[in-house]
Amino acid sequence: MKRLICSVLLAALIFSISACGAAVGGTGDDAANAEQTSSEKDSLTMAVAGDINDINVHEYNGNMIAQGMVFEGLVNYKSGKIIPSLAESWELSEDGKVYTFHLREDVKFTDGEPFNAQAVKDNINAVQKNASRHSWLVLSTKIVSCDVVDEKTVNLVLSEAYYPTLTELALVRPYRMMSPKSFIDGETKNGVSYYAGTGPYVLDEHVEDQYATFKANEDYRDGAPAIKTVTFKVMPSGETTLLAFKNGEIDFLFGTYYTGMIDPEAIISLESDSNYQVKYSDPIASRYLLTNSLTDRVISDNNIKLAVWYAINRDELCKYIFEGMETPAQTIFPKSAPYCDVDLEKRGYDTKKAKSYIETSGWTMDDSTGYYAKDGQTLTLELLYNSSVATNKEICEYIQSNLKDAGIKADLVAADKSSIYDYRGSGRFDLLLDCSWGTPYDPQSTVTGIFAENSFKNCAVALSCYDELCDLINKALVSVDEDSRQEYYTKMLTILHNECPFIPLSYSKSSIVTSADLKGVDFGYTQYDVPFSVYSY
Amino acid sequence: MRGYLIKRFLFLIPMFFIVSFCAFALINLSTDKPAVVVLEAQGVPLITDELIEHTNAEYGFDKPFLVRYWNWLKNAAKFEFGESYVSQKDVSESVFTAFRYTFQLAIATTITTVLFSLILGVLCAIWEGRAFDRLTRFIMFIISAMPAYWIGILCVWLFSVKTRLLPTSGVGSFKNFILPTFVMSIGYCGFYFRMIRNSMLDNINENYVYFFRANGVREQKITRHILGNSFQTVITAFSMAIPGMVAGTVVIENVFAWPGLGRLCVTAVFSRDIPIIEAYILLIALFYCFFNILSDVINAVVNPRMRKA
Repeated sequence: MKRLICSVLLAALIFSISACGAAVGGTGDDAANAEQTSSEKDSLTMAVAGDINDINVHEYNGNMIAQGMVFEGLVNYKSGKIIPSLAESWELSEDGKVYTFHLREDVKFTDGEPFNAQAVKDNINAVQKNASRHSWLVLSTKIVSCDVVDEKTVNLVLSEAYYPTLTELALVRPYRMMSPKSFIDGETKNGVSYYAGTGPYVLDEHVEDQYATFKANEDYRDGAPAIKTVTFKVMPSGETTLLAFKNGEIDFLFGTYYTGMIDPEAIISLESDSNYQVKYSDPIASRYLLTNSLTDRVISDNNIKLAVWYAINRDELCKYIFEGMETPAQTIFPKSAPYCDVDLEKRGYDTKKAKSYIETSGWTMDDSTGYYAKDGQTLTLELLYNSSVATNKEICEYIQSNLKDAGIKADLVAADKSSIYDYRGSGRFDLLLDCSWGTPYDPQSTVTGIFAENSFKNCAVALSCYDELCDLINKALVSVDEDSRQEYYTKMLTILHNECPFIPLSYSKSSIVTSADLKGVDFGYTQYDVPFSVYSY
Repeated sequence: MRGYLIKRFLFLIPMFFIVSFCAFALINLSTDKPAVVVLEAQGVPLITDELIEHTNAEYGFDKPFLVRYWNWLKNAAKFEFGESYVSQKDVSESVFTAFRYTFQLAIATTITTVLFSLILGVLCAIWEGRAFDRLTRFIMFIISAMPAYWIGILCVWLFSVKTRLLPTSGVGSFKNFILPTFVMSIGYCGFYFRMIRNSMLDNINENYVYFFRANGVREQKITRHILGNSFQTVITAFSMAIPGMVAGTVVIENVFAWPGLGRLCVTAVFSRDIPIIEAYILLIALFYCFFNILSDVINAVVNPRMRKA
């Protein structure tokens, strides 16, 4: 009996293993077929970390790249200039309060509705109805009304002059155009019934948490894109994404400092493979340490801030931690950002100078610990970072070692994204690793963050020059002539440079990794969009 | 038996209240600014005081805690958990869709685990001490010591990238099941096959086996009794493993981009999508209770001695 059972069980084991083998072998054909389909040469599959969610462009939930593909705005932003998009041309009134836009002819939404002045008015009104949500963007607090002049002309009326108006209209959200027919009860704050924009792509299929497929808009005003299908595939793990990329299941990877799907070493290793091309953008955002101005923190002492500034070796940081993918930053905004070409004191890597600043504040070196001490307390700073972004820990560990050389003890605190907001808002940190929103938000949107509780307010609020800083920012935003605006910015940037609410580290770049035979690969105007419509095989 | 079952099911009602209260209380008391949590989940770039007030009014956060709990509970009893803070989609729909995928994977893993552990366990018990037994135990020991995500990545590298036999990730056809199921089963197999082996060995040396043999009972019948008695502990263990698989396959789901419950919950925790977390805790707790009852019932059916308990 035992023998019978043994032989039956052994047979079952062998059968199951060979069945698996057959199943595996049988899928070989399917895999080959799958490969053939993906090499049809007019489709791209991009890996994304999460679902695209609701791409209603008047809200902030959705994937910004997807929103940028489907919806367009009145204007766009390119290398420091405003270029036409849905508006062909525009004029500004003498007092700077009324913008008159002349709209493009013969543009339709993908649901067939015409794009005209009434559509612009409906969209602007829908955004303004939910104004409290958009209060982070100063333009929303300045818009009084949007008036139809004729079929193709529309006026945007502001309460006072606001020079970043066109820049803020160019952003992906919230002032882009959706077909008014898709609005629910004339509004968009509770969602839209379907997505219809004027952009080069249309959302075709969306399976939550798995993939979203976009098809080319054949009636696009600049001609239908060569890449007919773009698929966003949800891939949570870095390693899986790299393997899927090598396997051909993914053929496009777009990374920024915070949404890198694969780590820098993997990108570098792909650079040397002739099957792939790797491209880096120009520096597009600033990476910095926020400092705390609240007087109960050690860091609020300006000498300590300057000591931290001089203690960090930015060249090595960029060369070894960022593998050359970021460039050292001497100022909070790059000189190429609007109004930021200002001569400011150069501060390089100088540990001796850092130590002299610390000693000026009365700290003395305790040789037994290797750190400075005063009144029995060791000079300790809490360095906070977002643990969800892969390279942040390495960056902070490197900074920690730099600070140690200067006699400062840095305690690293890892927190997830939501906790970071709490820490920042309540001022429970000394140094916080962060990154700006980049072009075109810098400098105006980043500096206005100094007012908001949950943003950078604690970095500056206790500074003696805070009121002066706020005054300069407000004046710069409502100024109507370039010269006075530049003057305000120069003063503002000098104060920021001297009072150090931000300690700059580097300027980050975006990266694209894709197959070598994709042509026309270039970056969008901001770190939040990818121009699939200009690519082709 | 019937009375026992009724008593167990009735016990689910107070369980439901206790678990739901704990879930709601712990999560909602973890922050004193729930409006900020909502707005962060929705990706609003800067949160102003005006916006916080607006959100408090919209979501009813200005109401007392017990009122909010009661409102939530009333809907939860109808399996309506509100809308996700992040995607604004119906939570029940997202959770049940994700549950379906995870459950499919759990069932596939259970079948594979049962098959392999049974076969290996019985064979090892019958050939105890021989080369097959030693080799199998050694290999299973090594494999169990390896972390699942590492085996997963290695398998993806070998079977998808190098040999291009299987897809790397995602759901789709039968071949998408193979790698995740294999990687998950390995961990469980290592544990259960030993359990079966030990259980069988214990039973083979029981008095009743010698007694039956001495009485001339046929080997077939003896073996049937041995097997039956051996599987009893294993059945309990297996039936409790299923809710464990449904609740905790986060690692596998992340490695293979499987759109299941584990990934949904972890994403919800990181973005503080409270409605999803509350729904998840409640459903998984009920699921555990249900499977607990089920395994007791199966035990009672299989082993008459358990029925009186």
